Amino acid sequence: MIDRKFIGYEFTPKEMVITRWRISHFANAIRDSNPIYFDVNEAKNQGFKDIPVPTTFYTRMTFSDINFYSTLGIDLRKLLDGGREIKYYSQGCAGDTIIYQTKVENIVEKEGKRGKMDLITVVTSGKNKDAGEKVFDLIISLIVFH
Amino acid sequence: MSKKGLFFEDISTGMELPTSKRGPIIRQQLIDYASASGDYNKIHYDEGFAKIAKLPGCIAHGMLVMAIVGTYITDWSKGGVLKHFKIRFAGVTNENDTLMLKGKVSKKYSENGENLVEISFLTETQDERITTQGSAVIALKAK
Repeated sequence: MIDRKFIGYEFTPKEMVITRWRISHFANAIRDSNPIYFDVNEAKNQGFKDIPVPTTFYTRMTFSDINFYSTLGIDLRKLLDGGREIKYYSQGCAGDTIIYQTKVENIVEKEGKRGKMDLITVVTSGKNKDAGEKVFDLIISLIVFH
Repeated sequence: MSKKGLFFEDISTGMELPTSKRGPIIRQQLIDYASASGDYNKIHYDEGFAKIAKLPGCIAHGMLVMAIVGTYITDWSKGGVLKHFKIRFAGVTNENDTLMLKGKVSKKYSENGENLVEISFLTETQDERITTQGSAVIALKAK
């Protein structure tokens, strides 16, 4: 059972610079050959200020603290990834610096076929460092069996 | 703005997206994705380790499957802006699985001056196992 004192807990924010290389590397890994991820001229032709990020690129920023699981005392053997949700507020592109921060939104107990479990909702929010505008919310649903 | 692409007027609720076949998801792609995403959990590329974790073999990253669905949606919506993307994992996608991606327009509406369509999608393996289900909201341009 996860300690309820973590409800509302915020991890230290972190920064990531989005580079053209990171994006093309990611697009290659997901086998997406859309030229906007590889050719800056094509990206600009399609109205982007630079190479845009692919839809799930922000999952690279899932937790702003690599010690997320150990901080909450989550036993990885009892963990199940329930799903992900991303809300997009503005388009991130190469050249942007993103500040992202992870917060434990809620922890509730549920009972399912496999017994009692904690359902943990975690939200990582990203904003553009220079413009200050909100870029994304990444919402993670984790299931930890008791 | 480009005259090409998908327009809000072209969409109707209940419309199906063309089914797309992606894969097979081979070991090299799992290694590439581990590197690109920073998710180095060995269950995705080390068979011995996967077996210790009581899996039949290497499995694809859930996030890789989400990324593949993301490509499917952006390819279809040509120039549309993704606003919301949600996925639930219903089962594992194994190494060498080929995924069939299926989608349908579940809603069409306007909100805060934006023309939005909601897609519901699923991914299914060659042996007809559903591995993910979810939805996406895309803002489209109007004619």
